Amino acid sequence: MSFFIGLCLVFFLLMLGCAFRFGFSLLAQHKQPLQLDIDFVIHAFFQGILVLILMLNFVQFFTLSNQAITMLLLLMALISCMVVLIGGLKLPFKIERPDPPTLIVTALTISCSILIFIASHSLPNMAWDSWAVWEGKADQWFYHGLSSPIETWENWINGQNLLYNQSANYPDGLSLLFFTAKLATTNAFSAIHVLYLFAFTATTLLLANRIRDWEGSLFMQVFLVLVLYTTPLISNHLMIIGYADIWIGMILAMAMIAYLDCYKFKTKGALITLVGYLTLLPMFKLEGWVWLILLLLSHALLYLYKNKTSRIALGVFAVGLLLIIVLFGINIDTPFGQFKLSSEGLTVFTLIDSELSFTDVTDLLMSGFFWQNNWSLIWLGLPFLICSYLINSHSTAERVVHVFFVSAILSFLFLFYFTEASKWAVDFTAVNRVILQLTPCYVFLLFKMLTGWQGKNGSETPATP
Amino acid sequence: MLNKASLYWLIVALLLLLSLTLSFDRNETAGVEPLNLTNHIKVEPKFLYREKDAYSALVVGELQIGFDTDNLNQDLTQYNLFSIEGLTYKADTRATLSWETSAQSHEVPLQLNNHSHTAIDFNTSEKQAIKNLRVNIIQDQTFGTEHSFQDEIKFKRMLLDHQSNFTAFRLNLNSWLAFNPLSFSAINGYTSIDNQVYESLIKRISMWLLASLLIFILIRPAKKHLMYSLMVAWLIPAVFHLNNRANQQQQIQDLFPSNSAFLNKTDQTTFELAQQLKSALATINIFPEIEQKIIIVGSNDFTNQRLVTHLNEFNTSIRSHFNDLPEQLQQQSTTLVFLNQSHAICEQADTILAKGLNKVYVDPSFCVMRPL
Repeated sequence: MSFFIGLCLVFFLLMLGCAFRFGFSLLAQHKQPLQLDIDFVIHAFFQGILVLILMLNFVQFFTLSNQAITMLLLLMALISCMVVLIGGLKLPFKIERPDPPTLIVTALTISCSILIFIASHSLPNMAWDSWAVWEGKADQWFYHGLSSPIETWENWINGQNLLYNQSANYPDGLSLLFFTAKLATTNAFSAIHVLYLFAFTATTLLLANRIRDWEGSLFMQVFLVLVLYTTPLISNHLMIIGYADIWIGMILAMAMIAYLDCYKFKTKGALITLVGYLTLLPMFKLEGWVWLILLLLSHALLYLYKNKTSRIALGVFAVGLLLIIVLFGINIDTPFGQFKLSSEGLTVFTLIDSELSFTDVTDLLMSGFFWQNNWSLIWLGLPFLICSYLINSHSTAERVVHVFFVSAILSFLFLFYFTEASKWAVDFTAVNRVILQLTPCYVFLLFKMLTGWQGKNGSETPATP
Repeated sequence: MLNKASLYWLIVALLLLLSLTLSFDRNETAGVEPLNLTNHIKVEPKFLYREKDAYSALVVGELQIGFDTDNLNQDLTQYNLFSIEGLTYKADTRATLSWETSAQSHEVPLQLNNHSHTAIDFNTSEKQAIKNLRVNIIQDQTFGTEHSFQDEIKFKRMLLDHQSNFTAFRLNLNSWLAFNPLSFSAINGYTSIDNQVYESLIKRISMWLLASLLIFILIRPAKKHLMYSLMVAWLIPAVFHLNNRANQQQQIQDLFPSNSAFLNKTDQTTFELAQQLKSALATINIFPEIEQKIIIVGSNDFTNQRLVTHLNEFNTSIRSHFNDLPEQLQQQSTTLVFLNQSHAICEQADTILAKGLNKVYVDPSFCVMRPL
C-alpha cells in the first residue's frame, strides 16, 4: 500500500512540476512547440519538489492544522491538474516518441530501482541522521504543527512554544518531504523510499540521455546505468535510505546539466530550471551552500578569465588576497554568520569552525576510495579526467563545470587534510558521504570524457531546455 | 593471422587470468599438513552433536567452541590459516577465533561462507604456548528484530592450515565471496578498516586495467575494445558486490518483518518504555503539548535518542548531565525524566530540593520530577 502512496506522491510532484512548467509557458505565451519527452518529465519532477518545499516553507508562516495543510495540498494538486489541462489545450506540443535504445535504457534503469526496492523495502529507517533529524523533524511538525519553530538547546530551554532538535540548524527540504508523506500514510518511510528511487531513476535517465545526445552508443548508456547502480556506496544509499547526501548528489548532477543547457539555449526557461536546482542545493544539506558558492565562483572566475584585463586584475586580486590571509587574516561578520580565514583557523558561517593543522589521512582516503570497494574502480578515472580537461578543448560552460568539480575535490581534500573534519575520516562517515555528493556529477563527466574519446562527441551541448 | 582485436583480447584475457591468480608475498612453506581440530573440540555435549558427516552447534546468545591444545604435539605457530569446511550459518551469526599467549589475548573475525578460510597470525615470535584457542559463535542481536532464541550452526570440519596448501586465487575468491552483513555502520563503509577483503581484488583489477590500456596503446584495435575492457573490469567487482547484496537481502528478510519501524530488540524495549512513560505522564496530567517541555536526563546514546524519537508527540529534549540544567527551571512548565544512571538522583533529596524540584512519579525504570 505504501508503495502506491509513494507513487501517488511522485505523481503529485510531477503534476506540480508540470503545472509550473506549463504555467511558465502559458504566461510567457510561448509560440515554439514544447518538447514533451523524458527530460521534460524529469525536470518537472525536481521542480515539483522545489515548488512543494517553497510552498510548505510559506505555510510555516501560518498556524495551520495537518488537515488544513492536506486540504491545501489537495487543492494544489487540483489546480496543477487544471493548469496542465489548460496548457495541454492551449500550448503547442512536440511529442517525441523515445527510440528503442532510450526505451532499453529506461527499462534497465527502472528495473534496477525496482530490484533495490524489492531487496530492501522491509528495512526500517536505520539511518541515525534520518530518524533523529530528517524524519525526526517531520515527526515533530506532524505532532505539533508545521509552524512550530525547531530550535537549538539554548533557545529551546529559554523560550516558549519551541521544539528542540539536536540539528535544528540543518535545512528543512528532506524533512518537509517526510512531512508530506506523513500526511498521507502512517508508513511514510516506505513511501519516501519510492520517492528516493524515483528521483535517482530520473537523474540516471537524464544523465544517460545526455550521453545519448552526445552520440554515445547504447553500450555507453547501459554502462553508465550499471556503474551508477552498482557503485556500492550509491546502491547503499538507495537501499539504506534516509540520508540527504544522495539528494545533494542528484541535485548537483541536475544543476550541472541545467548549467550546460542554460549555456547552450540561453532561454529564460533554461535559466529558471538552473536557478531551481541551485535553490534546491542548500535546502537539503548545509554542504549545499559550499557547492553552490563553488559553482558561482567557478562561473565568475571563468567569465572574468575571458578578458585579458580581467585576468590581470584577477591575478593581482588573488595574490593580494593570499597575502592578506597569510599576514592578517580575514574576519567578516555577515548576516549568515562569521567568515574568518587566517593561517590559524577557518570559520565559514555555521558550516565550519575549525583550527587549521595538517592531519595525514591518506591511508583513510585510500581505504575509503579503493580498498573497501565502496566505489569499485571509479576513482581510477580521476587522473584521466583531469588530463582530459587540460588536453582537450571545451566550451566555457564545460570549463566552468570542470573548474567547479576540481575545486570541489580540492575543497574536500583541504577539509580532511587541514581542518578538524579529519576526525570524520577515521570512522568513514563524512569521508565517504561528502564525496558521494559529487559522485553522480563525476560519473557523468567520466562518461562524457569516454564518449568524447570514442570520437563521436559533438562540440556543442545538445539538450532540451 | 590474428587481427588486432583478437590479439588484444587474447593478451588481455591472459593478463586477466594472471592478475587474478598471481600470488604476491606468499610464504611458500612447503609440507605443512593441515591439523584437524574437530577431534579436539571441548564443548558441553548438549550444545554440539554429530549428524552423519557434519556437526550441529546450538547457539543461544554465544557459543564457545574450545580446542584442547594442550594435548596437541604440533607447533601451532606454523599455521597461518583457520578453515571451517561446510559451514552453514544464520543471518545474525558472527564468528571469531580467539586465543591467548603469555603476553596477551587475540581475536580475529572469521569469514562467513560455506568454506571459510581466514588468514591468522599467532603473533608469537618465540615459542610461546597458545592457550584457550576457541571459536566464538555469536548471535548478533544488535540489528533486526526477528532473532530466534536459538540458532543451529552446522560445519563439517575445523582446521588449522597453511596458506601454501591453497592457491592464492582460491583463498582470494573465498574472501571476496564472504558475507559482509548489514549493520548500523554499513552506510559508511562496505567493510571495516581491519577487514578489507576487497583490497586485493581492486589492486589486481586496477593493475589489469592499466596493463590493458598499455596493450591497447601498443596494438591499437578499435576504441570500443578498451570500453569493453572497462566494462569487464567493472563487472568483476560488481559480481562480488551483487553476491553480497543478495546475501544481505536474505539477512533483511530474516531479521526484519515487513512494515516494522523497530531497528532491534533494544528499540522495541525502548518503545515499550516510551509507552510506559506516556501513561505515567498522563497520570500526572502531562499531555503531548508544545507548552509542556520534557527533558530526558540521561546519556545521549542510541537508547535514549530512540526514546526521544518514540516520544516525538511530546516536546522532548535530552540532556546528559543534571548539573547542565539551568537554574530557572522552576519558572517553566518543564518535566524532568531520569533514566538509567541518572535515576540515582531521584534518591538524593538534597539535590532535588536544591534545584527546586519535586518528585512526582517513581517507577523502577524512571522517575519524573517537576519544579516545586
